[in-house]
Amino acid sequence: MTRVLLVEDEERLVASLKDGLRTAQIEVVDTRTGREGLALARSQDFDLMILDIGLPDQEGFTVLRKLRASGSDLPVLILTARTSAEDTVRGLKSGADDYMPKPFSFDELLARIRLRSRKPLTEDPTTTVIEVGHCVLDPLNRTLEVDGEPVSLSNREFQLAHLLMSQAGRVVTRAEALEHVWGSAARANVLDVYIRYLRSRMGTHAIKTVRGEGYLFVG
Amino acid sequence: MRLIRPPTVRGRVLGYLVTLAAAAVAVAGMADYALERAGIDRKINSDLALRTQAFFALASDNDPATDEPWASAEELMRAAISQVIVSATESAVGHVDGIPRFVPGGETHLRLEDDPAFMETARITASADVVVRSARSDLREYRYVSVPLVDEEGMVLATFTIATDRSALIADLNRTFRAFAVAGIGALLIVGAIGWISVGRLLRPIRLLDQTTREISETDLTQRIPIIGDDDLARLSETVNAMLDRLEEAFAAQRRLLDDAGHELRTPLAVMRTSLELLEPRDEKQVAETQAVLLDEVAMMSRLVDDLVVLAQADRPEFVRPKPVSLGEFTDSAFARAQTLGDRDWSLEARGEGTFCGDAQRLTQAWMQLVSNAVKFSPPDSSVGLGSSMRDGKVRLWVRDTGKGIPKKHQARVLERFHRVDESVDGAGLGLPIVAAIAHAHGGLLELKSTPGTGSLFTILIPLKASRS
Repeated sequence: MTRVLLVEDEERLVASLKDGLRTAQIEVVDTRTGREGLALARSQDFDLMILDIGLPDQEGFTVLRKLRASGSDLPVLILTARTSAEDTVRGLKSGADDYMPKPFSFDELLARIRLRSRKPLTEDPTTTVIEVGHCVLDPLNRTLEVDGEPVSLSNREFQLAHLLMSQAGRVVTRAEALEHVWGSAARANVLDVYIRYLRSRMGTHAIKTVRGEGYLFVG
Repeated sequence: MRLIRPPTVRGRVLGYLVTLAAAAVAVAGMADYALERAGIDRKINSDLALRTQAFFALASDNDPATDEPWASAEELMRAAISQVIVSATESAVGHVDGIPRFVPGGETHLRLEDDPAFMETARITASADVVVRSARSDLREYRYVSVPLVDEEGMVLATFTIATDRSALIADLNRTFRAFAVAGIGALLIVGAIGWISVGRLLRPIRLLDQTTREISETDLTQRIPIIGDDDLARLSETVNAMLDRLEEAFAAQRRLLDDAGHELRTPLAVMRTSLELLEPRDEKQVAETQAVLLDEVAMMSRLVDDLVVLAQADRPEFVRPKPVSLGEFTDSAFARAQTLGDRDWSLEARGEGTFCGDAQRLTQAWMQLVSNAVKFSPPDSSVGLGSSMRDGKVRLWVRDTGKGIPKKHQARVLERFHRVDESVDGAGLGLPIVAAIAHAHGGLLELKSTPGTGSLFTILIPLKASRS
């Protein structure tokens, strides 16, 4: 699993990014200040750092410079509300690998994370295309086709479908699904809604309910 | 296309200069001419009078040749005429029995005998009184004195005429003044040439000013006009430079405001976009949460846009419309409004009396902004005081809270746009800049005293003689 360090002070942006990246199989460690971000980047192992420029304690450029000065070659993707060419050049010059101006498209961010992160795509088992029965799921392009017809899914719906299809022929417990997709068991009733929706799309019999255990994808 | 270029300052100044010099030369010349002519006439008159006196003296005396009385009128006239010293412009004629008998000899002098018409006129007009007369013939203009020699019965025996060729003298004078005119025109040409060069040199700063300001308006605002010398043109250049400073500053401020605004709007936009992209339509709870987040962000952006509009207006003259405001009533209404903003221990610390000139609406906005800040940064039921005063030529409007105060390192920056002391508290960091802008538009300022842990005192200071700075 790709591990990303997110250094951003806007609480709500962090919340939705963390959530969104989780559904894309990306683990996010987040912090609000440059100082903590630098400490984390030095002490732990990450595949990528997403760095905001307007941090409350110091500029993102400073964090980046200090990081590079300490000899780290951690890929850094800069996230910023400053969009002038001057700032872009400054960011890239101080050692950033990529640059995303706010507001950005989540899909683009995801694509760039995948492109820049240390972990090569081929080694990532979560990116191989899965085909079970009449369903074809492409994790990289986030598409699902049923009988050759594309089905539009939200992030979590896709993640749930991915989980069930990758474990096809094996029972996935409710706890397992909740933990994997929502990261908490508190959303049990939502799981039912999602299973119902997936069945309406992939066929009622594609997902079997195993009483007292969980769900089984049969395709 | 204009065929005639508008006159330049250089051309005009030179025009004035040459015209004035020409007028001076002309006036001096004409005055001198008149004086010289009068002098010529005076000299003619006195000369003629002197010669006539000499004739009288000769006539009343004996014949110097015989030492006897004059034998005849003819003898006297011969002697008189031979005594006359002639010149190019002066001569005499003696008539005997009505016939011009004697004229001075010689070649180079005035030859009256060539002008019989004049000789006749002179003989006819002879009178016993010495009168200088004028006569004009075809040849010249004369001034002359003609006196008769009469016998005991009053019969005219002879006439003695002494005459001056005035036209020749005036022609001499005219020649002199023609030469003067030529010299004058030459002098004017020299004045013009020197004037053209020195006026051009004098106006060089203006040309430079024109050229530089043109370049500046065409290219960028960072250039300045070089200051030459220490005169009023140099001061003009300094004034233009100062104006350019202000322009550049205003443009920079505008750019910064736009930059800041863009920066501040992008972050909520990023939150909104990401939230919408990651919306789970089948997850009702998440939909409700996202809706709340989005509405909140929209409200925040709306406030931000409103504040930015106020700040952008603050540089315009119509931002405040000052009218006489009664401080006492103004304070009462502000205090009443303040109390609706939160549950605090409200107190009116002072109520100023008198009338000042200000925009009551903007000042209320500013004061209420300070009050809402006080409410935001103080615990419920803590005391918040408002007050106003008018003394030392200043109106003071203040808000005192007993909240957490402002940390020292933030105090200097708290008036900067988008500076927030506490990121967790709602707001874009435009409140105090707006208050400061309103105070500034009244010619005043916003004063801050704050002790961390004890509270803050914000005072809007407005000079009584309000003038925009």
